[in-house]
Amino acid sequence: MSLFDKAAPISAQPALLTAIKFSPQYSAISVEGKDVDSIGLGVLLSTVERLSENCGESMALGKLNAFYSFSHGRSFTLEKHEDSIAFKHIADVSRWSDLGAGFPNYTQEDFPDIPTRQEITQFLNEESNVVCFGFRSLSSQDWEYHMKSLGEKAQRFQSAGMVAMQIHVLLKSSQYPHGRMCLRFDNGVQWIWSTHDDRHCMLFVDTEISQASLGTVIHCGESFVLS
Amino acid sequence: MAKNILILDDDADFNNLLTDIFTQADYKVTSERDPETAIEVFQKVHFDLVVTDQKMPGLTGEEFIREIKRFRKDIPVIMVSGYLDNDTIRNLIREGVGGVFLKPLNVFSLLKRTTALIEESETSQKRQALVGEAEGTIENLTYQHQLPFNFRSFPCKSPKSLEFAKKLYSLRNFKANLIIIGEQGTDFPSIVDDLRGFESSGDTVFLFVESPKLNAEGLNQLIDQSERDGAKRITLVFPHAQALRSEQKKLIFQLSKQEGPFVNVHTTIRYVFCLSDDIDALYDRGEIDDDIYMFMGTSEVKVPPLRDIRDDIPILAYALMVDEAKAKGVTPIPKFDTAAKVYLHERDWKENVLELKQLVNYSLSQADGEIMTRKQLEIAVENQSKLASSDGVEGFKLRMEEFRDEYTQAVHLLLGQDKVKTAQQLGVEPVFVEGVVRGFQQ
Repeated sequence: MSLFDKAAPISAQPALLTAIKFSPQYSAISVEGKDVDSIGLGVLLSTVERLSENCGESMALGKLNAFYSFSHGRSFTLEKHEDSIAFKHIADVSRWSDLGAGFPNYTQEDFPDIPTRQEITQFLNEESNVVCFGFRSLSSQDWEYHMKSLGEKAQRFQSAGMVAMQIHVLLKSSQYPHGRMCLRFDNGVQWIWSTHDDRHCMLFVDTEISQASLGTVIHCGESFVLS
Repeated sequence: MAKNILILDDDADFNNLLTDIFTQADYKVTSERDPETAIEVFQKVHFDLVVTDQKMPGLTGEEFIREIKRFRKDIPVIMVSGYLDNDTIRNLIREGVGGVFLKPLNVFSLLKRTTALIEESETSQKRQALVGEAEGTIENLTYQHQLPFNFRSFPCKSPKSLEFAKKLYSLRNFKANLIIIGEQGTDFPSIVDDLRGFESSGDTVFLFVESPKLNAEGLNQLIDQSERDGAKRITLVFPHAQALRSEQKKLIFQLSKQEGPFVNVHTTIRYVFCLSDDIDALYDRGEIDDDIYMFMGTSEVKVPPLRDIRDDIPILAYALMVDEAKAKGVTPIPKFDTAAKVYLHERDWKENVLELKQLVNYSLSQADGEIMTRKQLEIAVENQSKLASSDGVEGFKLRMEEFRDEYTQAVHLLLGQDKVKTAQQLGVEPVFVEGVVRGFQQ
């Protein structure tokens, strides 16, 4: 069983559907793609950006630099540059490395085993670059969180989780990829994996993280989707 | 003011998202997850729009909409749902749902539709209100303001005119001085009429004292006449009070103290000063001095300009139309159609009630049927504006032409009835002067 998205075969080449360069106020500067509603997309992206900033603010992670999501063979990326914002919607995406942006090039062969939920919790607890993580089921609404150091962060984690779910439903109802999300901030990275029955795994990691640690994180997240 | 939106969705995440999106767009949002609770809230709070899901435990969105429309038929509703079959969509549209949003959700379209629906609803409400007013509520010229006293200056459909009427009434027994502040074009005589109407006894006389007549002799004559007529109290009203000359102000002081030429006045006298601006502003600009500032006192009431009481305008216009038509014996009295009422409602009335009066009177003089249309009002405004723009030299010439003979005769008298000098002065032929003078002698 593959840990990676199977909507697109791994051998396929990612295909660009839409690329838009926006001004910081979300006015389209350049547009690639067919039948693109750049105004509607601008409003959607500004909402995604604002909600993402709210997530980062909850966890005191600083400014958002980029937002990535992918599932069902498509990816959605928003990258903030000094004087512009780049949006890309790509088809035939099967793994994180297809998004570029420094994501590691793992294949299913690198993760032959699928850990259980208990093992996932153990791996993440042992991983020093993971600041905190939690799980949420549709019925519970609240996050069951695991932290290395508790305290006021518990409430912050719930707030960030609540906003992350808003991003999730926004992308879902807009029919954009939402199963895997990665939010890069100045002082940390937020990852969220979601299953088809709306269970979620959310974790925050340090910005500086080794490839091995990142491998563990991705391994756990992808395993959660299949668990 | 922020528009009020009720969001109903049992999915907490989607509910939070919609709440965030609408709040970010400057709406005031109340979010509910249970339809029964939402119905209770809906009955207590005025909402401008409702956003609901279809699939919920308890009531469906369709049933919820039917319930709330029992309380407010015209409430705009948007449904946001994952999936709806065609029959449901048809039913929703039949129930009056203004927007059905299925996935993929487009936030921009949702917000755009929300704005459009609220605007449509507001316009429709205004039109309904205006049409309702046309249906006889003012046929007998009785305003439906439900005030426990007669008040004719405004119909009091707007909060500010209602507040003004109440304040004026509360000040009806002012002891010595009352200040009425009204912008350019305020109908002070009408307001003073209302003030007079508040008097329960008929022994108070209200006298308008225009600036040119304000001298000791004129004042004494007015007071004497009133006393002879049995007045026990006199209220002197000074329109344009800020324009009084210093000797006139001095006379008012003397009268208030029964000194100088007024030593024989024994009747109680009150004073109403009509000002165009707040007394402090006039004082700061040097338009009134220390003495009059101190004398005028602090009992004051501000007349709302028409732009602040727009809901009053169509009714007021019709009342003015009826007054004017009766005075001139015009029948039938034309009624404003809906477009005309909207025009009256939306126009920028810089000259307030007097401008409205002028327009109504002019329109009535041009009326040719039972209906007064927007087009007729627009033409009337255009014609009035032409007349106004012909003021200055042209306007003066026109008016002088009207009184040409009287003017010639006056110059002739002033110049010792010398026809040649008169002709030279006026730059006309002596024969013209001869003809005019002969006409007057006949």
